[in-house]
Amino acid sequence: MAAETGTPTTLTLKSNDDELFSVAESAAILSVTIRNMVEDGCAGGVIPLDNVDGKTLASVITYMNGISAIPADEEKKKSYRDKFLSDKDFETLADMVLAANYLNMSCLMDAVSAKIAQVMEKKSVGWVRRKFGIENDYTPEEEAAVKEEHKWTFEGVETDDDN
Amino acid sequence: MLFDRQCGKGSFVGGDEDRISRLPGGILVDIIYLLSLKEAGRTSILSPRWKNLWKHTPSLDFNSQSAFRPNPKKLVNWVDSVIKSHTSPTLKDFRIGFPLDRSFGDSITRWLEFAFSREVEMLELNLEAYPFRYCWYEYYRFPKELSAPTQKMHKERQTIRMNNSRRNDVVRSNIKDDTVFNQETFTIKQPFTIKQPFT
Repeated sequence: MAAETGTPTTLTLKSNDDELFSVAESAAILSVTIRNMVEDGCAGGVIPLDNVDGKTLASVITYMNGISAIPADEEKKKSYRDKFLSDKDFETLADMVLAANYLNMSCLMDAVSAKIAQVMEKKSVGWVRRKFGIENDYTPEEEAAVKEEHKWTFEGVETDDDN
Repeated sequence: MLFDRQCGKGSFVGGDEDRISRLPGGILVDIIYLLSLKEAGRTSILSPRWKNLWKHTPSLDFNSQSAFRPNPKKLVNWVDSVIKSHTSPTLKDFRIGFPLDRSFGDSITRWLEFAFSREVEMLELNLEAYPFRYCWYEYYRFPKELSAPTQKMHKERQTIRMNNSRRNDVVRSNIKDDTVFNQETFTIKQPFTIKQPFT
């Protein structure tokens, strides 16, 4: 898209369910994937993002706009990220981390990974399975063997039936 | 099956299925990396999908933590067994934080060799004895020579911190003759060899 003098360049992003979004180039290039396209001159017209749906892309663009409006102040950026992620459920976080991975946005990826890790911290195996709906398809014998192999992970841990 | 295909729309429908296990392995390793080593290892028990993921974590932080009187033999076995199954080709950090004396010198030297062979960025060795605990504590001595691999070093970022609590245990590197390795943080800018100055 041609930049008019004095007007910020705008990019058009297309989700995999054909929603179109306008976003300032200065915000969109937080994504290394998009930045590379811009630098290679491939960002004219519509940029198709085949791995991101409209709902997730809208959210990512909110993040791009929010974080790029904050001047270089890592503390403020961090508190924006925390606030941005605070009301997201796990489904949304999973969508977001996949999108961030695809778009190559390390700051968002790290923040979402940290948020998911926080949920798993200091929890029993059983609790984590239930919380994330992890299907345990070990046979009892296999599970016993893996537990034996990883006995050290329970050293010094208060065990209960959940483990 | 470490790296799944990237999933776009339609791959995850509904909220109750095992969504997290379907994330690409690289993302799950990023998450596991943020957990303590024991928590990371415990994810192997979640399901077969998770069994080997923790072995790719680039962070190995061994600390005796709460143990008031840690059992050194047990701790040494712990480090040995983790190192044996660990598969990440590189390490961001490798930390040993429990009192070990010279009788475990061979193990400690092996761990250092392991860390260097994985191009460790941050190496921390804190073997200090608990005060008043080990009356006859004989401090670990670095081997006469210990070389870091020369290729693909993270030159700017590699840091080594060693605290062996032995006043006269001065270990030099080949970078600068006067570089003292004891109780210091030390940034490595080129391949190096640790050399013992005394016999």
